[in-house]
Amino acid sequence: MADRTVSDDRLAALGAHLSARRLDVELTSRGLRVENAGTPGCCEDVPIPSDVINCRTRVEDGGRPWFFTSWNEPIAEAGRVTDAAVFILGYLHRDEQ
Amino acid sequence: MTDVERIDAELARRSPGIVGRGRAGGYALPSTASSPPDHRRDMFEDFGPAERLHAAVRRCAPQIAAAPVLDEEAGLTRVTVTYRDAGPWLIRWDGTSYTWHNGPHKDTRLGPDPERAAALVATTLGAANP
Repeated sequence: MADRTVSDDRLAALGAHLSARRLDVELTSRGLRVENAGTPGCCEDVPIPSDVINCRTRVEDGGRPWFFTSWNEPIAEAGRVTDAAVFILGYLHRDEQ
Repeated sequence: MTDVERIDAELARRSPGIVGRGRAGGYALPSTASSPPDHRRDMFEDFGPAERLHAAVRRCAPQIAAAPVLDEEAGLTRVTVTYRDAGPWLIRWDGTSYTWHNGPHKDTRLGPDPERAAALVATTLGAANP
């Protein structure tokens, strides 16, 4: 069974949480684009850390909706917005050495 | 008429599906069309050991993807668990204990308590809280 993309409402809720934590968010047709403009990126091609988050059903979890990174790593169940926000903040934050 | 007979009569009037007292003093439901609807009966009958483990995993480690799945060959319900790169692996109820059904810990027993088994599953998958 193919994973099914679910409505944008959950992404909008996640976007509100991330925006409140000073990340730049934009709800696009490809998903929720998130950027951490306050942190330098890894290289010239990626000047700031960013990702596009999607929300779709996860077969291994009984078909419940989950947030996924752009590389298809499950973030958290869509109902656990705070957990998802913490996870995303973690990987979009790079320590300035 | 005694108090008990009065209560029985009132119950019979309000709930005609209840046919009478059993030997233990409880009330028996008839096996006729006035039984609870099928979906309600299924709801209770389906909450077996696998569903108890599934509920415990969801409660104690919601970061684990878990779902009850029907093993059609055996006619039994298993629980599949996945966390990041670990899994999906199945857990079965062998009649006395939860047991890993496949994966690297196949046939390792997790004990009869669903809460304890869920904690062990989380530890095994690397999903336990530090």
